[in-house]
Amino acid sequence: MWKYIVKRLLLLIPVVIGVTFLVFVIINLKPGDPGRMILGISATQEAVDEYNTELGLDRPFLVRYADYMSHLVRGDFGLSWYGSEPVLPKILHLYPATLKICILAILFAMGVGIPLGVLSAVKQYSLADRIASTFAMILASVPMFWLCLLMTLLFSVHLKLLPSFGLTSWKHYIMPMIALGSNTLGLSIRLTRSSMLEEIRQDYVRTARAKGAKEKTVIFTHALRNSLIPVVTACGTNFSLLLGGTVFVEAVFAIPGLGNFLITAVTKKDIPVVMGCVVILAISVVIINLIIDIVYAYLDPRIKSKYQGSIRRRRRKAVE
Amino acid sequence: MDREETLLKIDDLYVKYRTVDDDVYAVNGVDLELKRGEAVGIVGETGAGKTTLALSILGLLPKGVGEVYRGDIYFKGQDLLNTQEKKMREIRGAQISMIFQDPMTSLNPVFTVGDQIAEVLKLHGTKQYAREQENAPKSDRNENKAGMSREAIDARVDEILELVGIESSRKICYPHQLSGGMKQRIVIAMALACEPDLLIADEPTTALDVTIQSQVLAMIDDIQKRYNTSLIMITHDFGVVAETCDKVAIMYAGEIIEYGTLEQIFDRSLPHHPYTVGLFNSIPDLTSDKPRLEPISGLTPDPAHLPEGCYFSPRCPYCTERCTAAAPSVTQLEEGHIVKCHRFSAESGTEGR
Amino acid sequence: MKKRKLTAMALSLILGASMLAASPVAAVADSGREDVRIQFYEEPPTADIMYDASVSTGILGSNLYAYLFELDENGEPTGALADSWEWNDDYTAVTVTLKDGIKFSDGSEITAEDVVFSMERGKEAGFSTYFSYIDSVTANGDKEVTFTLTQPYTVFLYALTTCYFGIMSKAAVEGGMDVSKAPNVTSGPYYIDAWNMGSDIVLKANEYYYEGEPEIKTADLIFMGDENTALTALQSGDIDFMMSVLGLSGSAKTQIEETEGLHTIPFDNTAYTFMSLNHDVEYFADVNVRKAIDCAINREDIILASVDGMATPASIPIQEGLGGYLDGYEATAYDVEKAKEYMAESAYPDGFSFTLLCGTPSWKKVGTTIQAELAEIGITVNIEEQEVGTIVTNITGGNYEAAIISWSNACGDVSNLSPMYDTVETSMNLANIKDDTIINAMNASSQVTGADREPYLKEAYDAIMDTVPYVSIYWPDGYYAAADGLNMDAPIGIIGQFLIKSMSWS
Repeated sequence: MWKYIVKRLLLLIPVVIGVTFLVFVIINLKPGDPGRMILGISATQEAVDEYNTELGLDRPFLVRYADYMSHLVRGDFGLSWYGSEPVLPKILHLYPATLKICILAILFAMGVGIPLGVLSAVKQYSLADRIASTFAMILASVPMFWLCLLMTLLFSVHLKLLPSFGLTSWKHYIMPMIALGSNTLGLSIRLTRSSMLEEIRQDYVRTARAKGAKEKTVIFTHALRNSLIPVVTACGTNFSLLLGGTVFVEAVFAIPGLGNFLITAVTKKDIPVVMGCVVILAISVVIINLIIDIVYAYLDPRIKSKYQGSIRRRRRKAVE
Repeated sequence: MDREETLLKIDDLYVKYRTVDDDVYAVNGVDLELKRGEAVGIVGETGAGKTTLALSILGLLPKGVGEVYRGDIYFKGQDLLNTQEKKMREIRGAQISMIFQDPMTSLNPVFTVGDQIAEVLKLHGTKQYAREQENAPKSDRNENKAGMSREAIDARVDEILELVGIESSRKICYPHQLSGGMKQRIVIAMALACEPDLLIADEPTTALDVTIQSQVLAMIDDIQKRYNTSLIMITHDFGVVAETCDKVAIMYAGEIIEYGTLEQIFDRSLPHHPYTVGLFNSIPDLTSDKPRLEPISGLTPDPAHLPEGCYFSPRCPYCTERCTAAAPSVTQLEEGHIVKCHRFSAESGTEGR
Repeated sequence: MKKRKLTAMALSLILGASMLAASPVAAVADSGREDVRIQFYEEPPTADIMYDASVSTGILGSNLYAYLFELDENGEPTGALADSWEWNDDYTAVTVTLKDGIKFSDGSEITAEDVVFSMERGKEAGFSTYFSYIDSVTANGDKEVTFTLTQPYTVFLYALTTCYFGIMSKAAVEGGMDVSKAPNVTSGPYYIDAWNMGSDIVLKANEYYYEGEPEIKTADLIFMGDENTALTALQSGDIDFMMSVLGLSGSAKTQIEETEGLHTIPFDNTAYTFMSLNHDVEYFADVNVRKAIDCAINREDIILASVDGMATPASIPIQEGLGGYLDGYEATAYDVEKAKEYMAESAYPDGFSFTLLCGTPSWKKVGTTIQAELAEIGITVNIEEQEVGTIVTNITGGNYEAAIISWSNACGDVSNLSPMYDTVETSMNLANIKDDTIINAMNASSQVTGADREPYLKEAYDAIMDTVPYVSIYWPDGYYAAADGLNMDAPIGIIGQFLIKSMSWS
């Protein structure tokens, strides 16, 4: 297993190189003159040109890229062009907030979605099933901004139950968590439902019943365990999508997170910040995918065997 | 243990499936009696109602769809059809076990085979263990009232694996790491772990290749004899029947149309139901020189729209007006050998259905 | 059955909670409240007013630092830290005397040394072109500072009110204070107590402030870029003051005014909004074309379409109440016939087409209205959307045909916008104007004072109205929003700087 993990971690290197290069190309192609944007409309062209030279923008593209990467491998993410602050500490300061709401969103989606999906499947075609399925469909299609606005209007303005912005108490996490997780929640319900429906019809479920197992055990221990596999992997994949997509939620709920920071930097063409955020996000996604694969292996022994090598080796180990 | 004691009695059982379009009449008046230690084979084509019959015994018909609407099933004197679900669960796996056709899918892929065998032990425990607990001094008793102790379970798992011919070190394996034959042995091990009184085997070797098939059958036969377990062997293969069964029931369109001992059924010189004759004729014979196989003409009837009179009449070469007019009643050809066919019923025989 | 019970329970819980919690929108209007929570439209890149040109830095800075001069109700510079001042005869030097007893927030005295230090620091940073007018700054003793200018510049005092000229403590800065993120020794009404990255800035009152300690002791500037977020926060009572993105949008204004417990606060938005035409492009070099466009557009309609009527039509680049304003210059009247006449007299009677760059959604609406109106006189307009930053780059690089842009007056005198017409120092000559009539007149007006400025200003404004170097459009109205009970006693500064020192709870 460890060999597999190390191999996957080594993949980080080409991924980071590929992503940074691509983003570097794109952000440089974006129109906008950093010197002009920083110094403002009233600065002389001379001052702007001088500033641009200071930033090193007169050098050829590949030279700048190589220079950036050579600093990056040493852990030097450079300074922001707006305010000359080191990029990495700023990113690391803002990253946890984004990570927290993403994790909460996924946990929320799975924690509510899986039970609802199971309910739907076990009571197929009942009223509960129809309600849950419709609910899932609405959630999966509702635009996030509409949901955010609706929730804030209801819970902050009218009911005054929840704070409308910020991230200082546990109450602040509720609406962003629901907003971010809504899509995945819809997905979870539907996926769990269809997966369970399939598994319930499998032969081993019949075997379990024939053994005299309680229906609860049949559903939760036997069928659910198997149907979780696609659901968990889908949610895990969504998690890495969410990580990059928190921008909107952070803007609406004024959360000091990475998404907001990145988008502002893109608009201002603050290249060191953009690159820094992208690197951190790319690394995160690779690690998250690795974690998902490991979890998947634990859920499905068939995959675990693939990672662990031949059965002979395991038998030998077990017998010893 | 009274060898002559009746273990299972099925009385005039009728089962239907309620689908959106029609009612499907899967079992239409089955009578069957099984003594302790007896092995009965139920032979028939696909769609004859064999599996439905088996599922009805265990109460495993699909909820809301499958319905027993007439008849009784008695097991050790207990009325199974009117037994609460909770009690039925205690019977399943402990007193009556069932094994199914496809070993590849009968096992849960995410648990080890050892755990899956242990599950049935945790649920029920074995009779021997229960006896031991009763007889043991208070200090040695397992405090865990709910069932067997872990050590006892582990020991029994090893024991039963050996019995089915699998190394006990394999209990940590997952199903996908075992071959088809081994998987089926695990399934059998699970079924026998709690020393059931009755084992229902629904085409247990159909999905296996022939060499494994004979091994598995030999093993079933051996265990059955050793522990005096009653056996219902559902199959479409006479070879399987010949190896394992004492009695044979031929099933067609939800009815048992012929029943007798192994010798009686296999004796071609005796009178038989035309369907039975057709079945035997369709077996390829290595010794004779027939250029073509001789199947029974026609198809099994649609259980949603069964024909009038005798269900076999559309395909029967001896069909008469009487056959399409009324269903035949049971006729005894000799001691222990019955048949349901107008050819053998007395002129004044009572009508069947 | 169980599930139904649960649902019923849950529903009744929610209903009950909502009845308990629902209350009319009202601010906490107890007198004696000394804190305020303000929505700030973005996280400023820095608090160092001398090293940054962002508006957000300017607004933050104007609450942190004190200036030698400030604008009074008439828009004239009056002494703030300065007690008195004296010009020399030809307006090439001014000596300023500081008030007595002025202190920084750590209790240390503000001296002439600090003034000199701050001026030199600002000049070194070079973010404001006003510093180029300063030849040298010298201190005479503790209280006197003399500014020697590079040329006569009568409006220099206006310059000293702009945010770049805040007075910093030499001792603190040289002693290593973090000017950009945590300036806790300041001359202004507040200093920074905490800057929570990405979240908010907490300001604390300066007890030694020369005007006296402000009533609001703690101010929390919360970064919220989204107007809706700010609106709901205001409505739910989570914030007390809302600036949106430098003023409310029309819909927000209406909503606030209809909500009980909230009110809007108007301010003079000095953002001169106009269409910049590149005179290097052949059509726009023709004055008749420019005059045609000037009367072909209906400013009232544009205002209605783009800002829901929250603006006034613009003519000369200075508003009433500010330095250099002259009466009698109305916005050009909408006259299609006249426009057609001008077109006929121009070198392009059959019309032409050009590309108009628009940056923000409201400017895009300006653009589309103009597009429809110019079509009537045979001019086809193609609208191209770009980001404002990109548009600025393109304009200053001369890489455009026409664009909608706005310029905010930072100091309160028309001289702040004169670089737009400068044919010599062409960095701000967005339109690439070739004719130096206007700039000469404006420069001359900055070398005399009082009524003497009028003839020069008149010359400049006449030329502006006659030759239409830029097509003026409007002055947008500015509104902030606040919870009832929160009052602001002083006018809001230039560029919409709100001064927390003027806030109080009643």
